[in-house]
Amino acid sequence: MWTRWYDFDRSFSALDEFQRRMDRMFGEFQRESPRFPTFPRANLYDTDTAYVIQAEMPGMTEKDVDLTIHQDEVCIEGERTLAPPTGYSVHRQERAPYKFSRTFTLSEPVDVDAATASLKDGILVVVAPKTAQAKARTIEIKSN
Amino acid sequence: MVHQSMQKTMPSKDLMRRETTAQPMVTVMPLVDIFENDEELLIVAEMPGAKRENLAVKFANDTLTLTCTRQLDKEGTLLLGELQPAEYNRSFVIPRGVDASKITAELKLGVLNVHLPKGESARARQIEVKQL
Repeated sequence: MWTRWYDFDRSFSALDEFQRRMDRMFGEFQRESPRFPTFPRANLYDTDTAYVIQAEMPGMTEKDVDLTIHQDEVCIEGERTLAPPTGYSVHRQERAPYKFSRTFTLSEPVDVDAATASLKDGILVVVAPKTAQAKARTIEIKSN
Repeated sequence: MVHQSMQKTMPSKDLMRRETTAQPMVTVMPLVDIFENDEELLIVAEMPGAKRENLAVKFANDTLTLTCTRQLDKEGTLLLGELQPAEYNRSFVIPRGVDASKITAELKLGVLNVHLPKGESARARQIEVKQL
């Protein structure tokens, strides 16, 4: 990329390429605006029998999170507070405190009573099994 | 004093590799807080999903490097994807005066704390003034 820099005609294409690479570098992991980042970032999966949510919650315990499941809605609410350790001066602070609420709307109802959640290594995993009528079924075809 | 000598460096070789592999593994610079008191420097790095067995903390040539591979369980069809398997990587140039043999690190709830105790020469001292 940088060898093109000295080639005057191509210098703008080098800039373009540079910008694209920078965009890709930041865009892949953090698509949203850096000033108002989504928290927590999450993945939502549909296995045939359940919905699974994985959410990043570094430094949080189960006490900091409230999880509510309605029929087809999973709501994660909570607060992450950060206190600098006492007696230390601060050189750099990139981590931020958050007060958040995020709702995931599912396309099929889930069995609220059978839902489970765990928080481990800073990742929250919610498993919400689908209700019996929402589960995908294979229908046997009869031949006469 | 420490502030200016601590620099983040992006690992260019990992970026190169990412572009050529079919299964993407993004390189992520973990967010950090850096604190200091009379005894030590404390680096707090956010690495959600990091496990102890995949984590490496290395100190060489005055540079502290934190690396960790974060895997995610795949669960059927992806409907919303904001997380990927990630390779956390960040380096810091540590000022002279840190006692390298006494560096300790602990991982808790996806947050890594690295303690860098100051050596005897770097500690703040009160110097007694003599009356002549």
